[in-house]
Amino acid sequence: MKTINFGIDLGTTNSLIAKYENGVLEVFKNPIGQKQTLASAVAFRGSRILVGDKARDLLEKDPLNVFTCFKRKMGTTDRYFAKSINKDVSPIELSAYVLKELKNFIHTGEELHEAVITIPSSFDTIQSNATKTAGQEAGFKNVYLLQEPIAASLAFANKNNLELNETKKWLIYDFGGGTFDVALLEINEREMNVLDNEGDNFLGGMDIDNLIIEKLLVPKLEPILNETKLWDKFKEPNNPLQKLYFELLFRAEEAKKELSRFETTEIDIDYPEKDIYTSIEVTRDSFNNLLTPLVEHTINFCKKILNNNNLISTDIEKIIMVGGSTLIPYVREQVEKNLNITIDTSVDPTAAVGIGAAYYAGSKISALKPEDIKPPTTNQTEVSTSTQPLVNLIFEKNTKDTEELLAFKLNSSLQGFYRVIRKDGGFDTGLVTLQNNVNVFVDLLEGQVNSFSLKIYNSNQDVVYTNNDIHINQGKYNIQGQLLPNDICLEIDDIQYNVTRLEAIFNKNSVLPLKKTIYKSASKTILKDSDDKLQINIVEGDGNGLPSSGLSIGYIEITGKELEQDLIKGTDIELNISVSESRDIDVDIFLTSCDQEFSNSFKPTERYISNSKMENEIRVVIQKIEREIAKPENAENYELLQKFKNIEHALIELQIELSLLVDNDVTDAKFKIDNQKRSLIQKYDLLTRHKELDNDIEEYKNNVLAVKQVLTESGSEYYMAELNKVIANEKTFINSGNKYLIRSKIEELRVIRNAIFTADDSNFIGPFFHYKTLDNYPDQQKANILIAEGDKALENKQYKVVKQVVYQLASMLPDDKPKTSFNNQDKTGLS
Amino acid sequence: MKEILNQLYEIEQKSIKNNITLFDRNLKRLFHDIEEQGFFIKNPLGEKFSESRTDIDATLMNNIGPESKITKVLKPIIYKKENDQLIIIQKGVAIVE
Repeated sequence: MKTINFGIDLGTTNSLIAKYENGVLEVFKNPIGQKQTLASAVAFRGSRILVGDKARDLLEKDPLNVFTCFKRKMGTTDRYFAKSINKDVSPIELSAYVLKELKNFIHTGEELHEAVITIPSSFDTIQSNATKTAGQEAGFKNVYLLQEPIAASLAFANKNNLELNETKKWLIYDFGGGTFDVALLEINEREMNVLDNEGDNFLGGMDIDNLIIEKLLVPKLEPILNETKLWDKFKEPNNPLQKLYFELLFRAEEAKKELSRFETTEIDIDYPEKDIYTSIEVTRDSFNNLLTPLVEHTINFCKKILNNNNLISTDIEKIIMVGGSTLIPYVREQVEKNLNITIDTSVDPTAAVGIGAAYYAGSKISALKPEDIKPPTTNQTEVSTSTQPLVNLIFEKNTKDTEELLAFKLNSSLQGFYRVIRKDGGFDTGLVTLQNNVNVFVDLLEGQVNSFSLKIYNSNQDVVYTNNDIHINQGKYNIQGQLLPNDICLEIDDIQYNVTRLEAIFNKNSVLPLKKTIYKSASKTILKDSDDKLQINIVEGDGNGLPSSGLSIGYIEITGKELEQDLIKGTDIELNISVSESRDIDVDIFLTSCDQEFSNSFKPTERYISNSKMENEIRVVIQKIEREIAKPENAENYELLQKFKNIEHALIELQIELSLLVDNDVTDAKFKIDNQKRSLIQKYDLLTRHKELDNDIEEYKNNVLAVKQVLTESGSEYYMAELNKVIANEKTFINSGNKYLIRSKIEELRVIRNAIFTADDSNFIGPFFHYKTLDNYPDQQKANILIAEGDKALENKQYKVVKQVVYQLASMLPDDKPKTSFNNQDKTGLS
Repeated sequence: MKEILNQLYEIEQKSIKNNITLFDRNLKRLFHDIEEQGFFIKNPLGEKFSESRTDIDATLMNNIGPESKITKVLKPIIYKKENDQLIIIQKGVAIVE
């Protein structure tokens, strides 16, 4: 049986959409701004219709065309006259706009045909029917209504897995941004009923913000500003201090949130118009004093509801706190203290009603038959059928401008709207009336690939065309620009594998000029006045290859003699690297621990090759080849062995040639040697890289399987989420060919496995028996004492102690890591 | 994370306002690491404002027109890169004149 799954909190000030299916709850976020809530506001701006927060922003300046709080007028004959379109709009139409906008939050691509929509418990039949009609106008075939207090209770009951065997009474205390409601609920094992409700439609969090300004900030600001009756002036239209008032409103809201967590907060006020920059301290006590009358007012409503129903506090099992204002500790304390009823704050107060609606929808069986649902027409790119308008879309794909023209023409005439949204959420045209030829300027984020979606709607606002494939490159890409033929990389130390490796700074096909700041750590200490050196080697070549296979295009050595202080291992090294259009390379190096800066410029004609570095690179690769030749798995692969031997011989010859060069050789001999060296090392690299990469990929896959298996046993949701983070984009990093990236993923998987293992002390029984059998402890006597302690703990099932014993025994064993030939002088000094 | 980024932004703005350059390098480093983590903070001060801009919660001092500009930024815009796609995780809060 298919269930409805989608629940909507259609609120007076804010609305929200959530889904509950197969035990999974999701509160959808607005793709524009990623907020869970959508302001219940609609603005008519000529041919453009804006819905949500953007519309609310315009309320102050365009009250004749912006409408909010229309929920209060649902079911009445009242109409709102929208001046810019010269038309009356009903509260039902306005609510339908909000519902349609909420549908855009669904990122899963599902089409919504049915939903549960919440209504206040005070709504009569006409108001309820009006809400249903709004749902139908928004395109829902079936709308089910649910009273808000019941929705909040459902959210609470499901979150806490409540099973009720007897009848209980709860109060739902809903203190939101603009309204206050309290409802009395009766709940038993079968149903929930609202018995009574009370409330104030004009009391909410916004009143608290204004009180902070009036009572706490204005008295302190008046002497600073040399003003009197400041509060009155703030309320006057078009007064010169209005800008300050708006800033204070924002600061007051922030302070309200801060004081819910801290005893005091500072409100910074920056008002350059009067050269004022000051900070005002606000304490929680003074804030609480402000709230007292408001909270008393809400408590009186609660008392009234109890009196009207002949109930006393002990008849109520609990008060469920809903609405953003219930996050304030003083509100919670006072309600609990004055009513002497336990409060419950376990549900997310801002989303509880929508979540409850989703829970209800998740259990409500759909009444729709398959034939009632039209085949989907959305989420297609450039698809044209007889019902869809063919669109000729023109735009510049690469631009240096910060706005770009998007022009399109419909091939068939259509009455309706279009909407262009930038996918990061920073640009939205809103619904704009269609014309045959449309020109729209879109704002671009600098230096980014800006992706847009274009949707075309018919007059019922059903989507008839979608194009999600509009990408405009701003700034970064210039068509005339020169492309980099190879990666430009930095050679760094890989301490874990005792080698140096390349790290790409700029990737192949990036467009010149390029600039980047990177931060590295010193991988060794270089003492002041010593001969040890820091090597900055900028290499052109494959970023996944061996450093010695690339072309060194910029090489800097900073010796201890140039340092004013010791360069300490682990401290930061800042590198500013830029490549000009004519391929000049500038490198600025800042050594944090020495507080010293070095600048170098390289031109292709000034290439520097270090003989000692070249010697070292050849030596390292010869060692690697010898290791490959000695590997048993290569023993019978004669063709491969011959290739290794050929490369080795050629490298040895180069080694000899290099040793015969005099230090100040002025011929191009060393450049020839360098070219041959790179060519040979590239050959070696090609022979081995794929093999190593394949091994790494296999190891990665085995580790993923192992973690999944452990998680199947433990069922930990936390570690499952951690695993999903590691394996997200798996295809991309496996195909990247970057073994260091794959190795870092293997390491992350090991950390997860280790964390799951160590979380359960009983897992250490096996390792304990292993360490018990070892006989190579340098201090065997101490080991025996620990083993005896472990045996005793095992007998008493004290697995925590067993774990500690295992750690101590492991730390006693000698370090048997093989010594390597990665000497200090081999290191670049960067990691 | 958002709160940390907002605080960092405020420290940077206060440093600029008071001509304190002592922390410039540290701040640059912090912002660099933040970008490496996929976050990106934008101060839209002085930029043009139109009613299609949804990266800002704006308080309008006048009606929106072609000359409308962001004259004060109370909170910066914060972006996060997820799967190679930037998304706004915090809209800016600004005054527009």
